[in-house]
Amino acid sequence: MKGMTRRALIAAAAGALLATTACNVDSGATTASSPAAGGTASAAPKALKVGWSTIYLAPSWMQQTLKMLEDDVARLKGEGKVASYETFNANGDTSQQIAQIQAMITQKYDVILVDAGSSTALNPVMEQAVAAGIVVANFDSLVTSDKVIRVGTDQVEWGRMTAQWLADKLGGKGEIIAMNGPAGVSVSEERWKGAEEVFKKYPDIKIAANVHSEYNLAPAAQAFASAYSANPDITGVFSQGGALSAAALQTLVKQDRKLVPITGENYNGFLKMWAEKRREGFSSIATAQPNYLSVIALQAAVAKAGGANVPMNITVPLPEITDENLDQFVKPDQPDDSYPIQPLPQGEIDKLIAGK
Amino acid sequence: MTLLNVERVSKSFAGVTVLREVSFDIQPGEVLALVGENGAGKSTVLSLITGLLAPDSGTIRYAGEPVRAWSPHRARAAGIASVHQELSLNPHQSVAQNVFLGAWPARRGLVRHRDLAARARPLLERVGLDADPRTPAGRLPLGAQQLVELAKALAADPRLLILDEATSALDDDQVRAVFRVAGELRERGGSVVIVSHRMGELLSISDRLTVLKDGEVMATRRRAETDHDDLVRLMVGRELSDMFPAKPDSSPVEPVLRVSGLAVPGSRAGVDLELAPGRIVGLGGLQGQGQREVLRALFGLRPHGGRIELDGRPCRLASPREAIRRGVGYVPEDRKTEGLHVVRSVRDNLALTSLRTLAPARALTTVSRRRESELVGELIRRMRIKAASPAQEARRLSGGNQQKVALAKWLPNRPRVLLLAEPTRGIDVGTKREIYHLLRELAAEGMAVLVTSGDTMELVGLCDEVLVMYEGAVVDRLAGAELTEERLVHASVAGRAAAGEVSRA
Amino acid sequence: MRGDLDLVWLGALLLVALAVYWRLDPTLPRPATITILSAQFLPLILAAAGQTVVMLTGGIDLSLGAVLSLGMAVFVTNPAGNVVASMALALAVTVLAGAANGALVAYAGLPPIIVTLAASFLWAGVTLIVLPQPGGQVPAELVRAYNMGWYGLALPAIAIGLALAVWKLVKTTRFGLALYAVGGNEHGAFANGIDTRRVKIAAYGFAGLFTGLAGIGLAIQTGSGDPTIGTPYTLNSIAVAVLGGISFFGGVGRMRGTLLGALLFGLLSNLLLFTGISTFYQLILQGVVLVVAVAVKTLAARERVA
Repeated sequence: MKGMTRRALIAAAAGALLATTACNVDSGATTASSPAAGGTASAAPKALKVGWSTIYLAPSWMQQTLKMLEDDVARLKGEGKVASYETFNANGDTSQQIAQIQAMITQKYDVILVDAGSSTALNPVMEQAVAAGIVVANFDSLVTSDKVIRVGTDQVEWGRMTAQWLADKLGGKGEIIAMNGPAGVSVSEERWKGAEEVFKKYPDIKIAANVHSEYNLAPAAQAFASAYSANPDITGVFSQGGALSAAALQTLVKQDRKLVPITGENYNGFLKMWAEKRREGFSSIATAQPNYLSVIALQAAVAKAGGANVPMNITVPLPEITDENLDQFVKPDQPDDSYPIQPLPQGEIDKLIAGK
Repeated sequence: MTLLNVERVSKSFAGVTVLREVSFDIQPGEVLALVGENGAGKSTVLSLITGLLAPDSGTIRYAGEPVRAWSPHRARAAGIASVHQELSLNPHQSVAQNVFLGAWPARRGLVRHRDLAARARPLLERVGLDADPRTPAGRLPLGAQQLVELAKALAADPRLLILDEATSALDDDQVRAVFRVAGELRERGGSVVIVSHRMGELLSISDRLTVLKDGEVMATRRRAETDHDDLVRLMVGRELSDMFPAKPDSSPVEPVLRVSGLAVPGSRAGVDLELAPGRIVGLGGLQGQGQREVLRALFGLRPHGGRIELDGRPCRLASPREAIRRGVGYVPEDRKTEGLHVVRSVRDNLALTSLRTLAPARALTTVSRRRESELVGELIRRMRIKAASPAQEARRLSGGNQQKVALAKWLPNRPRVLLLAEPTRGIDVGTKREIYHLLRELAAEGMAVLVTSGDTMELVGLCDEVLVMYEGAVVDRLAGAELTEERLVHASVAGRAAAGEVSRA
Repeated sequence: MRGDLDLVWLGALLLVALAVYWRLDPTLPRPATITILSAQFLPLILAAAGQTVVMLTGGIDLSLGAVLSLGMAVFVTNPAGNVVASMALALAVTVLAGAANGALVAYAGLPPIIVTLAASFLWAGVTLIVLPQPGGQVPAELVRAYNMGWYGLALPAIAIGLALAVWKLVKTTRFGLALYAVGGNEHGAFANGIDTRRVKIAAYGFAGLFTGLAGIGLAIQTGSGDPTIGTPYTLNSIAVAVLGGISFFGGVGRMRGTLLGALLFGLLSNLLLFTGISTFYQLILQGVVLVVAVAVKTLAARERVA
């Protein structure tokens, strides 16, 4: 029967495909278990097998994070501390992320880094990894489990810091539009919580409109434009995301209005516009979710695997981008959709890991 | 007591009246035949009885009670079972599951397959079908499937059995089995309504015959009071000779299209045929014997094998685009999905295939409105299309005029070969006659015409030659004096040429 | 039998995948590993089972992921105060959501793809109201027993077995046969007195049961609820059902095919995690394997018909 032979062929081909991939794994496993190139000293701890499971890899912030992480991995490999490194992209599928961490446990990874797709759903599997003796470090998007090292920024402080700058800039009175992320998203809620704390202290600052928009230029511009046409006399804008800030500033420039202070983020599109309009008196403050969170998480985990005492919660201070130091950050030759950041000095990282 | 009364029932679809004040009745213990041309309204009447459709006005009484909120479910529960030409089997379920379709005997909520098969066997025996009840119904030949339908109808132990072209795919033995079943039912006081295009069958089994024409009852006659010619006169409403154009003397002409060994997926044998200018060739046989596939293959809609020669030179017809370029036009069976853009205007429809001539390359892609208007106007005149204006949406036209539009749009390209599938299905008699004459005119102008039709009268009346197809192969070729309804029906059903004939297929 | 041949080839592929997996992870046959893997595969298997029921009617359910999240959300907010009652409530909600989809398909006469696409937004919105952000509670002992084994028993595997046994029973009821009849020839079923609308509503509702179970399984696996976690299950469940031989046109296919498809799909994506090939290539490879598997089956079927 012709159909049968064809099926048999395909099955064989599929088998071969699987077998080849299996060989790849074997070779990978041997490199992992053989002594690392640099780790010659007998006293040195064994070189580690490191993996990063991330919910997304495609966004530019993630790409920058990956690059920074890989650079640091290369350095640690040179020092003989890391033997192998692997990235796992769950592509938005949290269940897939669970499977990834599960697979890393099975393959006896020493260090698992996680940028989580859910603040709760990964807890059991991460705790399972910890129970298996694996050092798990979570950064950027954090989980609620307290059994893993968590490296993040304080999102409430983000709102507090930028809102305080705006309040000072306005001299404690005025009328503003607040640009927030989508309702129900925890990052957005937390940043706004911090901002609200500040604005409560200044009864003369009136919030004319509280706009919710996706962290995306086009919808944000639309949302801001309609709020602005209803409130053309505002004296400032509190914005909690780079694309939102860019949208607000762009609208003011397009309509040729007064460039009131707008808070921002290290979204390069915003930084470029800011640098250009600074001459016309535009002023802002921006902060960032720094890509080096990944590096700190990696180093903390490696230190812990080496026996060092590492704090479970590492809150990384938010960088401050001001009218004065803007030029160190803005990258005119890079696309709008990038997040320029100054690397954190190694001394600072060491201090954070040491818990000081 | 009368079992079923149909009283002054009318029904229309989208403004077209299909039934007009139809009345007839069925007595217990009798077989009533419904007779009429295609589109006379027989199927609609039956759908009203079985609850598939509801009448716009009029009453249907069943066992004395007017039926309300009628549905297939209720009709079945009330003892009405039906077998249609269009199969209602689920090809993926077993024969036994189909026999009890919708009324599976269950024990404690569960249907046991062995139980099902055991109960199905006597029913299959009754209809003379020797098949394993566990095979998927779709694997059986068409005729056997129709018998499964009959077994399914019997499973409901009906008081009224409706046979709607139920014998169309059956051979002589199988037809006898069906009639035996009908006879048994009649003896036990049940009733049968039968619809068939085989007049001989109807005359042999029925007690009374009701003739429908264009949605109206022409007459109801007792079997003893009527004969074949009487019924045909009632059905057609005029003498047959007036319906069809005269056939010219066929002097041998060099064929424009010569096809040999044409094979489409699913067909068992290659098809040979020749189309010559001036001639109308028909593809006959039972429904679904590959006629449609042949047409679609010749228009490049279906992958096919075999050799096709156009003007003596081999050519490939791999896509409709290619076929059109080589002068082949196709008027499909389903006007509404393939033949026309029903939501576009008559004008757009007519101009569609002529865009190349209307928008020559030097004018880039703009269509010359003036030339388009001329063209459209001429086509409407020539084909006698009755439209309110060229801007009218095609779906607002009557079926006959839609068909004329589907046909007319090919004419500007001067096709050499015209393929038509069921050119008069669902069209009123008057327009049918017009289309027959138009096709003959087009042939006379030098076109080669190939039509498929399920209407034997149409094939016999219109065509110069009819090829009878059976399971994908040509089993008989009838022309001249041999081309009679009787011969055509016989070859269609038997799947071979009449005795003493040597098939050239 | 044709359907069996398809399954044989799928089963053979699965055996190859299992063999390779065993080589990479020698702990495969141990109860602990079986527990972990079955916990991981349960949501996909049950979601695909739900999708299969809908596809057997000739429909498709694009709201499956949203309904899965909804079931999960209802379950973890523990509205009834105890686990079993909350579970029942969650299942009631997903069955109703499914039945509502079915009613729209049956009565509005709209194509299932449109109805369920619209419904996916609706149920996602309802989920966010029930559970605005990840959280909720699942008793820790339950999470541990489910994920780590309960007296050496792989609870998720048992749950899968029970769910499929229920299906086997339902398939032999009149409803089960009517489901296949409607999917295979809807008009025929209607003409034979089957209440096709009721069958469709029941089928979508029944699919909601499987989907709800998938959501509850996912909640117990993750120890919490997440209102957006279900989304990928929509397309994955369709892919799995198609891989398992369920026809897009309805009426054809068996649940055991879906089970094999889900296991193959899950094992394959796990295997890719072991390979160490770049993550983007993993996606490509996964797609290629799916296309090849489905194409081969289709070609084989075509050859048999010809």
